[in-house]
Amino acid sequence: MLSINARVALAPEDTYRQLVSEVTQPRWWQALARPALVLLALAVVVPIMAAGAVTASLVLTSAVAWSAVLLIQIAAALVTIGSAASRRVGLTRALDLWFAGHLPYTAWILLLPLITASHTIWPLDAIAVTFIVPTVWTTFIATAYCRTVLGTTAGGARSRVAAHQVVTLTVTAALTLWAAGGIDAVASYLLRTLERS
Amino acid sequence: MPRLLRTLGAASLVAGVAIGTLNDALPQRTAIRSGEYWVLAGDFHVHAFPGDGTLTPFALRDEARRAGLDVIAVTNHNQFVAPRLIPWLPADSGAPMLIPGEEVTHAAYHLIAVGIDRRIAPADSVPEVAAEVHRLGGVAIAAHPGHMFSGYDDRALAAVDGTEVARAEPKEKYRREFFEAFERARRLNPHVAAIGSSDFHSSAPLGDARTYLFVREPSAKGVLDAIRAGRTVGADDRGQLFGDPSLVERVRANMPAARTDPHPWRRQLSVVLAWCGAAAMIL
Repeated sequence: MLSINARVALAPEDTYRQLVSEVTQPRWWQALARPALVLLALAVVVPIMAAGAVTASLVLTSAVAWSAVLLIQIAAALVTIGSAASRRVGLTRALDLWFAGHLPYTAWILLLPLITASHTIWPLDAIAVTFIVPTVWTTFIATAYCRTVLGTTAGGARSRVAAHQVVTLTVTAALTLWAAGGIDAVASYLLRTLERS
Repeated sequence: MPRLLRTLGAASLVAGVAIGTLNDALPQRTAIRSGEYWVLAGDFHVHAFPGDGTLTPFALRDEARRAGLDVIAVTNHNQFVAPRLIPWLPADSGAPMLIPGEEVTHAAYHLIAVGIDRRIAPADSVPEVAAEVHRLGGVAIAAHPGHMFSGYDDRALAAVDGTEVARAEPKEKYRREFFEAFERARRLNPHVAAIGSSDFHSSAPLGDARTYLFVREPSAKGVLDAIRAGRTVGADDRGQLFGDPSLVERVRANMPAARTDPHPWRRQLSVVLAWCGAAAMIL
């Protein structure tokens, strides 16, 4: 009854084991179907949050603008996948299965209009705090992925996932710092947020 | 079952986007005259993508039109990437003006620079930055000048062209502080401009607080001249007006049209259909 994405999110180890046993080798465009759904979520949610409306123009411009986020995620996934010598499926299948584990982040993106709707919590604060949930959840999914799809040991999976999380969170933090005006600006913002609360 | 759900989701998404697009007739602005001036509505504190805003300048221009704004300034923190996209926007004679700017961000102050053509680095004091803004032909506006920004002493307030007095601030305490800063600035410079800004980042609505300007010509130059001369009225989200009492009266007598939303239920239906459709396709 549940979709593959939902099954991976709820029982990653078992679901990935089953998916790896299926003989299939998607083409490149098929492997990009799941990443495209992530972009779709961003392209729909950004106009809802920012304009309270969904139009073709808003969806298209948001998709183009925010595709950079997806490209960073694909690049990080390819590095993680490509560096595993014991991989049990082809590259395109591995990429497809990696994004099958994206549901926690995608669900979080879909919920952003609700998360940022509060009049008492600043939207950016709400986004930053709730970001913890998909990050932690994804750690478990990615560990199961490394063990069953990439064929690493339990320790290897943990270190690979840790490296992946460090890299993606560092990139996220660097982009956030750049957008917020630098370290001084962020530090003073945090101090003001503490005082406001 | 998942395939059926996905198909229904795709249909719902397409229907939602189609309804939203058909419902999105961008309003035409009617120019308003008040004596020798045009009355324009502006929002001079708007964040854009790429940066810490979610909408690109292109999408912001349409959103400004929906919001009933004639002019906005794109002002990201300590960077000038998004404003560089403004000259690349397709020409549209009925569209609001977009003016390049920056929110010069320092631990002790935030200062809005409007009408500049390059990034300004945050210096130690507001007067230094304001002087640089003026050298580049722009205007300097004190952003949310409350007690948490120690940089807004009398010297700083005397150096700026305007202060944000009207914002959609949830806490009364901060609203009072913005008003007190404006009053202090006005004692130091009677022509300081009353500014209303939304500080739009990611959540609707753009222009919930705004600035009414009395301009001699409806152009970026006319807008900057009006701010320099203090021919502005700040309006907050509750409709409270701030500024020179004679200008406030003129705005009351001849208020430009605000945000238009002729069919809110169609817009809401399109949002629900699109969101449910995307959720069904993904989950």
